[in-house]
Amino acid sequence: MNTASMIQISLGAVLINNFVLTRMLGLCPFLNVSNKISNATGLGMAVTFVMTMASAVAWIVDSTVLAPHNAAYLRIVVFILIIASLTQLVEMALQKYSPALFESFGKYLPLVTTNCAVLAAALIATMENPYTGRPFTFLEAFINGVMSGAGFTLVLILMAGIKGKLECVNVWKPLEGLPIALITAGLIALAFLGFSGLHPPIAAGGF
Amino acid sequence: MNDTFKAVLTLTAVTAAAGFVIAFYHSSAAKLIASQTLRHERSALDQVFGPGVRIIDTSGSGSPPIHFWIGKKDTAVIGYAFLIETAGYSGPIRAVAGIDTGGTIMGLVILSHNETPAVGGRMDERISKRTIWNGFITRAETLRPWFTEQFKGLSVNKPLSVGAVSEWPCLSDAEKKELIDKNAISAISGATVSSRAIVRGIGKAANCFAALRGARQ
Amino acid sequence: MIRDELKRGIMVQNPIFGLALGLCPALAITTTAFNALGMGIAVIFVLTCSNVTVSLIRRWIPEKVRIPCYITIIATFVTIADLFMKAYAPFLSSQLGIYVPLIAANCLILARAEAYASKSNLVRAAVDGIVMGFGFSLSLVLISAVREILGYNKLFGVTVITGFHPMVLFVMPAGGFFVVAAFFGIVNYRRIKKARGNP
Repeated sequence: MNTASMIQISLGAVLINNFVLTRMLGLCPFLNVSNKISNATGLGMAVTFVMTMASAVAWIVDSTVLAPHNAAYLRIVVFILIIASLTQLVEMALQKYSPALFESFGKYLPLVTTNCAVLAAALIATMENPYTGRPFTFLEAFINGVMSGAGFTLVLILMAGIKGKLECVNVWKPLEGLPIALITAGLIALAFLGFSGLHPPIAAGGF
Repeated sequence: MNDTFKAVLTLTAVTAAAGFVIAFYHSSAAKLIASQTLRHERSALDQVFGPGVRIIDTSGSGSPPIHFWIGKKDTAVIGYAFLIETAGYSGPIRAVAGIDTGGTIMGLVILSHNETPAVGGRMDERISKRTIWNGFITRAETLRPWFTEQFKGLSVNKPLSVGAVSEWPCLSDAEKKELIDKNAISAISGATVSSRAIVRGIGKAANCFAALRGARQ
Repeated sequence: MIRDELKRGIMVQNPIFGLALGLCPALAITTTAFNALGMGIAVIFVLTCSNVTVSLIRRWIPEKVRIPCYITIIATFVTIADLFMKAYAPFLSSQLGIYVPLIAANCLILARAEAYASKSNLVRAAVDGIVMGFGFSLSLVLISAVREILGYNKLFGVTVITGFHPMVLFVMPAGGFFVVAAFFGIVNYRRIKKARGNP
């Protein structure tokens, strides 16, 4: 497991293939985020936590249970049930054993369960690594989950900050609410388009 | 019955039923799904070799091992097709390249890629004269992407390069001839990485072809 | 009755523009009208089948586990749709990619199962599924038609205007955001005008 591969995956997950702005997943929480940055950070941390857990557990279940029996077609059902039940368990555990953590992001967990971003993170962890053409290893899947969540949090914070500024502005009536949030997202996406060229240099001969 | 017990039982029953239904459907669709990749490869090979050619599959040889096919008309070998995989801009590009016994490229068909839609994705672009206004009147055309068509007739005995000021469809006949003489192709504008990736892939196929030709002599 | 239901699915309770559910696929795959049509048909299938199933077994599902049960049922039909697409429409499947499995996480289907199908009889649930799915598909195709014409100068793969150099931005994610924002803006504008017209 070399650092180049890790950097590639991290950059890819945060900037190049950002979950919200490039893959366009997890839009419900993103468009409806409040204008307080503390809320956005809490929600982002919850999503990161669930994504990492989902990626890791999905990878383990896929490689130990599904793949050996050629049951890849059961991925969707299995993953979505795992995600739903794991989030419930984690929420209860946090509430009981770590009230501090629960205060910071535990209460956002129910919002995250049937989010497409989490299911996508789990599915991506079991597909092939786009940079090497081979399936993800466990460490790569784990890092991918963490970094995808980090990218999601980054964009949430950006959105919350801009929404805070929008409060002080007169928005044209028909564009109030969802449309202006979408336009803002579009402008941020336009900016992030510049990151699509941020590839580490391909070694001579590629692979 | 205890409430929780009932809840668990129902959920288990629903999940089990779901599993059975999916497994049942999968068993009937599995073969068809598995054959889709083969069918895709097959149609690419037919495109590359042309009609009336017997295609023989082989396991990999050459370094690194590469999957290739031999095309025979009657008993004479007319060419080879190689399955190439290179690193494109945003993921691996898989293609089939056909090279005849003299080292001329017979054809190139892209099987799959993950490139950005309007940039590297234009390697699938086909120029059509149909529009929605006359589309129902003109006959259906079988079009090939201009990017892969321009590889036909180039030689792998010399190195392949990327040249030209603009894209292939915009070049004049004289400029096109110049490109073919230089053994070069015109890249997709704005997609240098993808274009070079394909050229690199053909280079790999050329190495394997040279090894095959060396082995036969 | 059918016309009323259709009107409800397309105009009054349009899943995307009225209820703002299921936005993820609306933005992600509406790059060509062909993709939108394929996705729309898949969603109609999943929505109708899951509505029917939930309606059939609604009396036996305890309150506590209803959400996991609904999710399992939906995921089952999504898997069937995914396998069907891989077998019979591999090109569409490769275009839609990861977004077909993600229909399982689409809030629209879960919301309809919980809010409607679990409380209605079989026929009404089925009709609701078809009608909502149809409204959803229509919105998707509309959005993607705009994006494909502006971004590729094509509609269903056929060129629209010769010699027009399209603006690639519209098939990029940023363009998706802008086009959907414009649609929402139009819907809101008409809603405000109507509200003002009837004091």
